[in-house]
Amino acid sequence: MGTRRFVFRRGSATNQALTPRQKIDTVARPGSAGGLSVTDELKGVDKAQRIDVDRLKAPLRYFPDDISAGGEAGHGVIAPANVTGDVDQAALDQWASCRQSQQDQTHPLTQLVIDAIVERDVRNKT
Amino acid sequence: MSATALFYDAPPRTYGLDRLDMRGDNETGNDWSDLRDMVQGELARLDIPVRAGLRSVETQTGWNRGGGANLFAYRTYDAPNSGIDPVVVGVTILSDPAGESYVIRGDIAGETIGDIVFEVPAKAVVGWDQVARAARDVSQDLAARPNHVLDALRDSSRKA
Repeated sequence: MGTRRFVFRRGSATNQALTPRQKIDTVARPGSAGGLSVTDELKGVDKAQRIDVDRLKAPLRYFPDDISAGGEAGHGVIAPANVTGDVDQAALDQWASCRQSQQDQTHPLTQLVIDAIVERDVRNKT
Repeated sequence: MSATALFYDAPPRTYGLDRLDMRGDNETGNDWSDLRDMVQGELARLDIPVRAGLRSVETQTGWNRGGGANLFAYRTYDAPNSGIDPVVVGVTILSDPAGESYVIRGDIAGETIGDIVFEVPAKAVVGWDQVARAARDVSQDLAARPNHVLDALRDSSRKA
């Protein structure tokens, strides 16, 4: 297998910030699947969460952008996958619908993202 | 040849026992719940002055744990329909990598853009009482800064 892959989720580690936004993050764009947006590098951001992609547990998976289809280099999303390995749109929509209702109960998929964080509140040193 | 074993009454070792309270899962769930409630109670003191400065502000509380954090308790302030990124006032408690102490830190930061508006210097402590005290101090420090929250919520350069 290849080397470990780390990605960054910009912003604070609130349950809301680690959950996709309805009708924004849940919508696929050319070369990029719908899901929680992450990047390979920390550029121009004060604070982010460092995530080990290998620590993501099913059904979550990392989907890197397809640059040849219009995606962005170094960008990808974290989203629930179905049995065929594609984004499970229904699960993604359900996850996003709970974004604002996680005060005392973290959504199970959000908790999987949190559990894959290997460094909280990474500071951009540049 | 015969060997004689000598035994000495050694005084009981007490140094470092306070650390035992902090390792593993010796703390009960109630301890963390109480700590979370204490932090939330302190941060809630921001509500009145922030609302006085921005009547439309919406507040949300939350917490989580995992990913290296034993507890992250926060309060989010949002200026709805402004497009400006919500502001998170949060306290994080983490174990240090060696498991010898805990680190308590707090900041006021953008929820999705990640800009840091204000940051309390991190405190490393050993022992549950010290954790609770440091978490209270950090929370109180943050709670005394409603103007940081208001300024950030009015800053149009912070559009998400």
